[in-house]
Amino acid sequence: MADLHPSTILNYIASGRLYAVKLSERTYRIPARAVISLLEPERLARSSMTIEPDADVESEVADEPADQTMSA
Amino acid sequence: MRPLSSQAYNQRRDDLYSRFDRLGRVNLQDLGANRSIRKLVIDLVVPGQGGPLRDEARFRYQEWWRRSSVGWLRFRYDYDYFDLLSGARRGYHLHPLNGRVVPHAVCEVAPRPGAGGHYEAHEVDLLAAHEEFEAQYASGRPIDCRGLRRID
Repeated sequence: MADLHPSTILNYIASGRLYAVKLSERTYRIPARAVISLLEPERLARSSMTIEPDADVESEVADEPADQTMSA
Repeated sequence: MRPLSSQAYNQRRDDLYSRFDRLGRVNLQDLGANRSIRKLVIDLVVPGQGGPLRDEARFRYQEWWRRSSVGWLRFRYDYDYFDLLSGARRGYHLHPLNGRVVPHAVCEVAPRPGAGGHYEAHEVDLLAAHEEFEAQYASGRPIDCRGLRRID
């Protein structure tokens, strides 16, 4: 990857600079997005966060048994 | 899962967003913070880049929280992982089944109307479910329903 030595990549993963999913002691899977984020961050498709404090979602849970609502 | 203050809820929301943004394209919605029921929706597509990189997986996490005197209480959730290449789906849900709120797993290996049985499961945290789904995705192995015990 990008002419980097494997130990450099492992250091990136250990430091959190490069995100990877650990499959076993010696095996990682590095998501494409993590690679792009490291090498060409300007290419990343943008994520988004929407906050609507007054949105009404109560009707979605109208089937909830009133006496069985539980904290999970 | 313990109740969360509004500040803790917001911190958790932001942490989840940052974590998932490293894996794929995230659309997060935080709905109803000023009301008695609040909903968190996270839709994560991997790789989520468009162009030549085909999307392989979708993680959709929904939680409903109720305002209480001790903070926000999670009382319902749908955590789902969709393998976009095979059409398989794996999930953990907490919602009414036959009139009772019961935590359960969902598993379907091929998309078809009415597919997807309900299976026994304990309550899970979003991150615990995600780590399981993420490991399944990263392994490249197909979703299968072996080892699950049906409840319907």
